[in-house]
Amino acid sequence: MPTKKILLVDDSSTVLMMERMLLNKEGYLLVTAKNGQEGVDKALSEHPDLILMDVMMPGLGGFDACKQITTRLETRDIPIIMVTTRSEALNVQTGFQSGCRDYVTKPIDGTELVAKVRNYLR
Amino acid sequence: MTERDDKGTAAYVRSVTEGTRAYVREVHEDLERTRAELLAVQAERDKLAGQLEAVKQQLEACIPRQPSVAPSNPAKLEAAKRLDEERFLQLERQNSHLANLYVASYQLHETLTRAEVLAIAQEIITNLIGSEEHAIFEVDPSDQKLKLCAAVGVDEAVCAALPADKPEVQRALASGDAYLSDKPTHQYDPGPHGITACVPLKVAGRPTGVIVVYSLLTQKAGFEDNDRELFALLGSHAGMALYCTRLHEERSRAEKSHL
Repeated sequence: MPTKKILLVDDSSTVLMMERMLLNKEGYLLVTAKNGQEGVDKALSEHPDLILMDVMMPGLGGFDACKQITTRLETRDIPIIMVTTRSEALNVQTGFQSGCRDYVTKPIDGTELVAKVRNYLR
Repeated sequence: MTERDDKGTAAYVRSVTEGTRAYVREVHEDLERTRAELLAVQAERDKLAGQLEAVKQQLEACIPRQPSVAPSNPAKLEAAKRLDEERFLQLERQNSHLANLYVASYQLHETLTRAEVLAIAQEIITNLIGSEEHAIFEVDPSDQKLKLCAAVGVDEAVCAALPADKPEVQRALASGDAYLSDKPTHQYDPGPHGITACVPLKVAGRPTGVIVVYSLLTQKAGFEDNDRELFALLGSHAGMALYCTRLHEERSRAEKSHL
């Protein structure tokens, strides 16, 4: 079975390292981006199987980046999981409206994150 | 009846008797043959049954047995499966927690820039502890008073004046032990009871500042054992990283002034 590729988009090096540690051991190929625009660009160039996208980032935010990725023909089928500090209904609703498939809340629960990723990449 | 008639009847009786005897002999012979065939079939069946049993025994010897979980007991099998799943989940949680500790430690010592250490400490509190309202204070060596170094989500002017008066802060500084509230708040309260956690920054066991957490994210109900370990690591490693970066910056300034 070919190795699945995941794009991790977060401006926090701490979060990126955490996600890399959790997902590396699962055997996924990981690509990172430090902001929303880089995330959109890498979604186009790398064609990942899944994207983990932070919400709060400088410049192009997570929701806008998600919207751009899910409206482009080349990338619209890539599932996106938003990583957010806000679990309120309005925030979650905004995420789904921008095209994300799922979300995980901070503080990052490694078990939950890995389970959701596995679920989308089965 | 005439004599001629008597002779005819006697011959007929003899003929029937001999015919019947011959028929009985044939039936008897058939019966013997059938009995012999039956015995042969029985012998063949016993032979095949013996061979079948031998094959069964060979087959069972090839299949690895699990004596603790008999396949005929689905309830035991299900319980063993659940136990395995629970153990796997526990290992995953433990792995995730160890990853948290490793990431926090690695990140704090990756830089020699003071501003970056502060930013990384803030990232750890936000992303791994779960708070968007917190501040970091250091004891100023010149007057031994707490000075605000960095804050997230709170009014710096308000929180800068508060910490030294708080009993939680005084206790943390005096004892070197972290204070974690049993009833954490989810909204910043600048009043007298507005601290959810206070973690001393330490260098070689000596308190050099505090991390004050004012509130937790709404989805985080309270502190867990993992948070205590992460706070303990943060207190010593962030304290040491801030101390080292300060020394490094002082040395860099001194070197520049000599040039």
